[in-house]
Amino acid sequence: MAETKFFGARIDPKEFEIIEKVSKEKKVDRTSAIRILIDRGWKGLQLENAMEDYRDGKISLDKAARKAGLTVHEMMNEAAARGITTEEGIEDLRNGIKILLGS
Amino acid sequence: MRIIADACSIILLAKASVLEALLDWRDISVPREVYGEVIEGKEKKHYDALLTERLVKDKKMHITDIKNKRSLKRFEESYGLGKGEAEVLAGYLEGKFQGLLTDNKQGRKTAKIYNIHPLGSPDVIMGLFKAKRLNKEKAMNALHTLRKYGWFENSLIEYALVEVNNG
Repeated sequence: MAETKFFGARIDPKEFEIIEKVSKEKKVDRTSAIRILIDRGWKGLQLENAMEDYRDGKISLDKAARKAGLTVHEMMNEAAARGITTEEGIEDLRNGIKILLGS
Repeated sequence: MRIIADACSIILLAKASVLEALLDWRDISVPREVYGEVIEGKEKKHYDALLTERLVKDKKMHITDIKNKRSLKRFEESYGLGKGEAEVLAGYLEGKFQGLLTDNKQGRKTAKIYNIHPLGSPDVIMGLFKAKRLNKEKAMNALHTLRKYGWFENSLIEYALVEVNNG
């Protein structure tokens, strides 16, 4: 394992309970439980940030996927699950059909 | 007609089981970066990734290399596009394609800034149906798949379903 660092932190009883629960569920010690929680929490935070940027039209979906450390396929699933649509309208659809049919 | 497509559209059309019908009808290319984005799903055995790999191997779908590096950079930096989406826009502007297929919100927005009318997956399903390349049942199933996936406004899919039903 890479070099580890030690630091002390005060947490409230509810947070301690979460660590205990993860430790029990995953059958690992408290330190490993904290590592799992940090890893999952960090990934979740990255996903939320990327999704917010995509929803706000700041970045494209493939860029959001990179930011969140996901594949385009996975990012599409995440966006669809949050109800984020392409905003294609009926007029866009009509024009698209005309182009495809070459008329 | 030659069309350049992004990863979202290739994935959606594969899910809707109409990608091969589109390739039989129109000449579809994906930029190299887009191909990589779709193929990434191969590790997780995503159907769209495995299908795309086979279609490229069978030379039914083409990979195109983008030469205009300056516009690539512009799309990435000024419009927040990822590499794949930027390659689609830059590739279209090279003038070899008559259609730009993208279901990516930001990609569609950027295309419109450049007066390019982007094509979407529902347009492809409707186009295939109107060109008699898909029967009513297959077109309805494909639209239902898109609706189930939730990538499009429900009103758009409803409109398309009525059109096909009356078609």
